[in-house]
Amino acid sequence: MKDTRKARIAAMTDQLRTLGALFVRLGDQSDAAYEAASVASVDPAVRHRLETDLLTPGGAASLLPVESLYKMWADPSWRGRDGACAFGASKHLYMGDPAQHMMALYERLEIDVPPEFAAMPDHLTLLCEVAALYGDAGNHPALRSFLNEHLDWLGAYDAELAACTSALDGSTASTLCTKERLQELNAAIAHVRSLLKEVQNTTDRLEAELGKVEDPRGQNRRNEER
Amino acid sequence: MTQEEKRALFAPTRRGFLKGSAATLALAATAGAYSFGTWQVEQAAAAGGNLAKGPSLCNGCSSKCGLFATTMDGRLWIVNGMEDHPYAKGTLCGRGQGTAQWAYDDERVTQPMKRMEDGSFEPISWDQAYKEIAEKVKGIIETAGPEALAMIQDPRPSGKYYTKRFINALGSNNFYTHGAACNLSKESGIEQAIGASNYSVDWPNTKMVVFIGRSYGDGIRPSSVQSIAAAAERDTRIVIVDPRLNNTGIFASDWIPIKPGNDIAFLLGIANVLVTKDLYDHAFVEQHSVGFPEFAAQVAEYTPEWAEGICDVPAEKIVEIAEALAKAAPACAIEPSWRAAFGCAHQNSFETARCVCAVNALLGCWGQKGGALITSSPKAGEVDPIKFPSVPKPAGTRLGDTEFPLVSSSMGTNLAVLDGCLNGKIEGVFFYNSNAVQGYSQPAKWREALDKAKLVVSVDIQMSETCMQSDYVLPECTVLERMELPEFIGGKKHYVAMRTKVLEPVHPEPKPCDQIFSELARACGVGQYFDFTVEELAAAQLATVGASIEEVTEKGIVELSNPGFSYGVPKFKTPTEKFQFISEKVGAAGFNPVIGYAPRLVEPAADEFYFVGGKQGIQSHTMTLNLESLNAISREYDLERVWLSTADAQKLGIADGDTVELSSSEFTGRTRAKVTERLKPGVVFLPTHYGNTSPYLTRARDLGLNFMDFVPFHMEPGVGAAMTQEVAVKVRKVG
Repeated sequence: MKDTRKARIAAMTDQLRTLGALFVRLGDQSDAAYEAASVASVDPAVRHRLETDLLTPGGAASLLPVESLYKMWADPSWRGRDGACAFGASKHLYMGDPAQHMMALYERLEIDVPPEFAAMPDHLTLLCEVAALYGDAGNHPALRSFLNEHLDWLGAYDAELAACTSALDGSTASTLCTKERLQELNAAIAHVRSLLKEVQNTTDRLEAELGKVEDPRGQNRRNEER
Repeated sequence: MTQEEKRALFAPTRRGFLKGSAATLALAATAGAYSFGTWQVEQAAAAGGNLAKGPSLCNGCSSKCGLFATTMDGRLWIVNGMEDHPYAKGTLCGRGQGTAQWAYDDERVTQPMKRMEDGSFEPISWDQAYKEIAEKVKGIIETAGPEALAMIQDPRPSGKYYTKRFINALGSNNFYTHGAACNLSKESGIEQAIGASNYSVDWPNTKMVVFIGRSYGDGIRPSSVQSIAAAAERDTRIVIVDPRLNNTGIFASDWIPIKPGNDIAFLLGIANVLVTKDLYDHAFVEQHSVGFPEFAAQVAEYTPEWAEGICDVPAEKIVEIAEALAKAAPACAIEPSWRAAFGCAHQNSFETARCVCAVNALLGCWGQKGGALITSSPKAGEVDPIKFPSVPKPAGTRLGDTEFPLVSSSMGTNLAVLDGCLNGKIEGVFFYNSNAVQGYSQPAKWREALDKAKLVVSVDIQMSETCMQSDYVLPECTVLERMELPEFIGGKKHYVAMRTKVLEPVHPEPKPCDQIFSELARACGVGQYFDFTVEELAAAQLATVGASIEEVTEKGIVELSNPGFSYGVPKFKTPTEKFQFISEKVGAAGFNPVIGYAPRLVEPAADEFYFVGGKQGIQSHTMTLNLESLNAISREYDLERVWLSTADAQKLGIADGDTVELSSSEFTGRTRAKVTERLKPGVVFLPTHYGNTSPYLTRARDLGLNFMDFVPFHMEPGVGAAMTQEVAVKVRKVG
């Protein structure tokens, strides 16, 4: 029974990992990635826009699934003795507290972050991989805590994707952007939102599954943090 | 971990990006509960054990104030103004706090980009970018010669060296600053009068200062604000001549709302009073100037009543100011200004700058305690010519210098490049740290011009409007992520300061400009002039002034040997070695050699308004608006609004906050109105930081209007400045 549950959770985190892999530039490997994730593929032109304009830092509609960008950069409340970080309350900055924690976590787990993720160790793709690692290892308390702490910003990300669609529609900048490209971009945003929904559904199912085991310590901590 | 488990974790079919060690799975099973909460507690307990501090120079504007950045575990924590830096004096302004965050900004450009046929950009590798740019450069040189290439840059310590070296190495003289849209007219004019491009007010000892348009409270340099605040405490009389009561107003004793672009008449009215009432400094004029008789004869026409008719300042006010200045002399000055009202704004800006100098000459305040000081600047001496070989001086004349013979030689007029693209003389343009398209003249004209060029390359940290018009965008790392060459600072004392690499680069691809231009030079076949590192050159330059790179890197700023400043009439570095009321060079250029009146170009029709722009203390040009923290301030306080005087607003039925439409010969746009008593009726004021259109800068995009959209492409005679306020606008309520 227990092993079945462990396998079920591992399968869900594995699904999370394959979904997470769709949020980076994959080039000609994207078909395989969609297949692995059991998600319907998308028009190559739309996928191309997604990769170059949305998922490339500094791209035309750059909105990366990076945790730091949607949270306060540095919690000002817990470093009083050294003076709070002057930029702590800022958002949309790379390498915030979530990224710092992830780097410390990678070090403990003896994991190397590839150079292309140097500015974003808290990228959704990597977060999903770590979740899968916990799933594979059967460390369910750690998995639950990780989901609570590092995958709780998907709603904020989705809201920004939605806002980006309307900004592009109403922008004077559209003069610099062909109509066709704008349509592709909007399709790309809709697509990434649908992928994000899959991620959210998977984490919801995971949390429901994890919640079946009694773990008052973890539950309390979660409540305090909320 | 078994082999099977390893395969399961990291097999390629799993599409994993992270690479773990053999122990990773076991660690995840046991020590994995290292939660964010636990990490936070550990960090709090660390009590600053990983704090580090390094010096740099702010890039929030062109002042380059000294700062110290403190990092925590390698991450930026706080920035402070450098106590010993003469511009910062311990304080950084809001822009400095905002721009410190650039390194982490989510809308930086992070890898080389290439523009595709449909106008979209695709990321490419550095090697591909260099190769393609070099091929195009070589093609242009072969068919049109190196003089068809140009470089436009807003000077920064490394940038001004490497960009000049690069374009000269390619064989082109066409090297320009941003000046045509900044302080070109003013510095060119001052140069003809005093032989130096600028001067300063001796603030600690002055009794009276007159500002022509400039506002220390808006275009902030912390030391300037400290100086004026201290002077105000001492009851120094501070006069603001500006159609708008700007944010220096709290330090001022007088606000003189003047008709824009007519400051020259106000200044000549003062000169008339000083001469005709015999209030001028005879000793100075007789011993240290040339052309006074001609000037005096001419200035007789410029009575206060004549001036009133042009600039709309009451004659009696002009007389009163002139007499008060004479009484305070020589401990007084007309402040030299910067961009403001005559940096590049009007057809008569060059001449206005000369008039400013003439009034100071009549007051005898040049070099005097409390007056107008011409100080010296240090510079690096000769470095090893084997290691750092000189680039041969390119043949020919810089484009624009012949048509605009009075242009400051250190700046040139970058609008010659715009014109050159239109008429086919220029085929390849490089931009460094420059958003020319958005700010240097009519943006649509810049776009049209750059569309005609065969090659446009921008080196920047974000996808500016100029980048959008470029074929290639090469990403530079941000200011705190790079070291640069030494920056030499003049004044009563001399200093050298440096940017150091305070932060490890956040993104892997962006590079510092020294590396970008050196690598580009190698690709273009002129790498022999770039066979050294920025560290080697910095050390060599510092050695020539008796400083060491170790000391400057540690302290951020080092005072150099005392230049021996003393009060007294300076030796003017003009051709006559005297103050020039008359300039042979100005005459040779076809203008009145004697300092005198010149009108502005555009006068509004009955249903039109004068259109003036200006800075705000929390934004710089167009480059800071996308920073979230600074953008939020603009949005919170509706700073993008257009100012209308209460009287005009009433006539037009416009209430504060209404949406209005502005239209000029070039552009029509809408924004909200700020209705205020702080503006002279008949004038409309628009801050100059807004209206960005780059789709890449989502926070800046579509906020307010871009001032330059309203201004036609034209060039000031003599110097080729952008005449940024030679335009009239209509205003109507639309909502």
